[in-house]
Amino acid sequence: MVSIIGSTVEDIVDILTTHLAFLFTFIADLIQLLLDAVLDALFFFDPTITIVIIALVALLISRRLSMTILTFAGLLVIEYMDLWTQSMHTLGLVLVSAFIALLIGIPLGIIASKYESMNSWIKMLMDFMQTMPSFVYLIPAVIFFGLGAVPGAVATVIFAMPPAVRLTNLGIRQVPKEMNEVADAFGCNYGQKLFKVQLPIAMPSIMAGVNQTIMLSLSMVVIAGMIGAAGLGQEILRALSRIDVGAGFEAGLAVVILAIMLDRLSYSFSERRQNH
Amino acid sequence: MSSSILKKNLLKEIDSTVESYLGAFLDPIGDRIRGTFRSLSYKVSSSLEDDIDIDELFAGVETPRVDEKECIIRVTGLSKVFGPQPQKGLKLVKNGMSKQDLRESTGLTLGLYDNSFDVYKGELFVLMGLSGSGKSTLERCLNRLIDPTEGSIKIEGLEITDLERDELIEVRRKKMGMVFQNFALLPHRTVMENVGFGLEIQGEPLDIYTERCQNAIDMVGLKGYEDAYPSGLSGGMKQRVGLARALASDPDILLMDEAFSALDPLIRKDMQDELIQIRKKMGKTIIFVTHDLDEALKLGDRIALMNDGVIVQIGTPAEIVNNPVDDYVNRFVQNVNQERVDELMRKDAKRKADAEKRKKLKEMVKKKQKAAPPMGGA
Repeated sequence: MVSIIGSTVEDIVDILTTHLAFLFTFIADLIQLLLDAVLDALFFFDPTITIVIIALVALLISRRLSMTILTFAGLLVIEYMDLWTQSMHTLGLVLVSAFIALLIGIPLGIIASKYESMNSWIKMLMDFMQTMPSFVYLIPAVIFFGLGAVPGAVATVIFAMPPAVRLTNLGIRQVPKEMNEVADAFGCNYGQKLFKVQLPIAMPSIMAGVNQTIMLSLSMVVIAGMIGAAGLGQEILRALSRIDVGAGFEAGLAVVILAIMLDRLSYSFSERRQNH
Repeated sequence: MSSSILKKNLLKEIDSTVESYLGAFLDPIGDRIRGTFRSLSYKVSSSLEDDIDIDELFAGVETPRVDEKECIIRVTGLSKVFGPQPQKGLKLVKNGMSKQDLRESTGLTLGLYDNSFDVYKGELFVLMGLSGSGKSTLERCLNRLIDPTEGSIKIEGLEITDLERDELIEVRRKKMGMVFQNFALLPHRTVMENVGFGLEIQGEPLDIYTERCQNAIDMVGLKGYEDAYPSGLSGGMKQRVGLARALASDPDILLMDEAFSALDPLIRKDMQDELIQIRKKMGKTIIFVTHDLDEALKLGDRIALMNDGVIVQIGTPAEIVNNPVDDYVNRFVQNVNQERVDELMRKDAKRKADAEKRKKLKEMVKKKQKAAPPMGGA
């Protein structure tokens, strides 16, 4: 069957499930809580009202009419295709996963930029996480967290985190030497140097990482449909099993619309920040 | 001696001193200054037991004051080797290995070797040399942006090389401001926020912050640009912001690293003149790094010429131009024309005469203060 490598990993997973069950339950509860909150918000109003609200948020973030119209029209199309519920489940999962991925990824990137010894370890871990086929994460995720949206979110976090780590690390490393000298010459302590000089200057790079993380999250949540995460992923899988071209295309189109929306919004958010 | 004779003598002396200064001034201005001096000298003579600040008397009138007795920075035996195990490299150099051999055999780079100099309070001290000569490295050792391998740096008696991190931060905040070659303004902050960077770091309350920022901005002539972002400013204006940022926390020492080198010639000249004006108003000690001889001659009270990490000559502009110690210095100064040399010598002579007069006047007042019996409050 499997060699010693595989069986060792199996053993480790076994030990973790038996001894650290309380930890996984805790994490699962936490993620579920977040996810419920986001989904509650997304389903709080009638779809039409939510569409208007999201379009207004788009206007607020991008300050561009074209962006607002695009968002509005895109969401209307989704609603028209009768995929609203699934799309919002997917959107909720993306937002929560990306949020957690950034919450872990950005500090990890900062640590990697500060400590050379950590950097090589973190880099190796990121390489591993990024190149290991994403389906593989689903197996332990299911074992640890059962079926549903939570293991989907966990697998998504692992898959989507590397760009945030890498680009934060890169951004801070690329802060011009003179800027670091300014921070030191004017007597910044450690935190002041990081928060007042390095992070603001690295922001374009970090925001590119945020954008990439969001996009990767979206690509992963479809796969997460395979382990029972509600949303467009399941819709696509259903269409696949029935060879239903029409339904498949509609669900795919909804994913594309969400992708364009999230990409442009996160991009214009970062662009606006670096306008000065 | 009675106090009335004292008063008369002092008045006469001050008058003649003032007279000698006014040669260069137009008469109306001269009259005004003379008037101020007269009233001041009456004050002086009528309250001789008071502490009289001659420096204040002279503010804005003469060449910026440099007090040769007060050494604000003293650098002794400063060396820097870049690379791992710098101590070992320095030992090799001390045993006679050349910079070239050191790099080839160990991979270490000799940045500075055994530099010693004093900088006097109020002086503009220029570090000059070709690129790679170690002038910027030397300047960065003063606030330990670069940690020297060996040697001592004393700023007002405080040994900088021994400071712990917290103490070093305190010294950097209060004592030293720095101006950078490529401006190094923070792009996400407005002019005001850039100028206030040092004050913000120090946690100054908002009213002090606003007042000092505004003063610094006014000082460099950027009024009206407080809310602009650096990307919208020209090179000259950017460096004004850089200068204001260094001045805002009112440090005693300004470190200027090729501050005007990135500006085009006309703007550069403006900034040099501006710096001269600011010096007259604020009396800072300035360490000015440049590779431009003209700039060094124009601005410097004294110039230290560096070659390959070593100071080869220190002197006033006139001394450097007239008596270059070796070929390297000579190559720098050979193209300075006679007219400029004469001008520098006049400037030098005037500076020396000024210092002499000030010293005399100071001594005189001191003597009078001692001699005069206490006469109660002024």
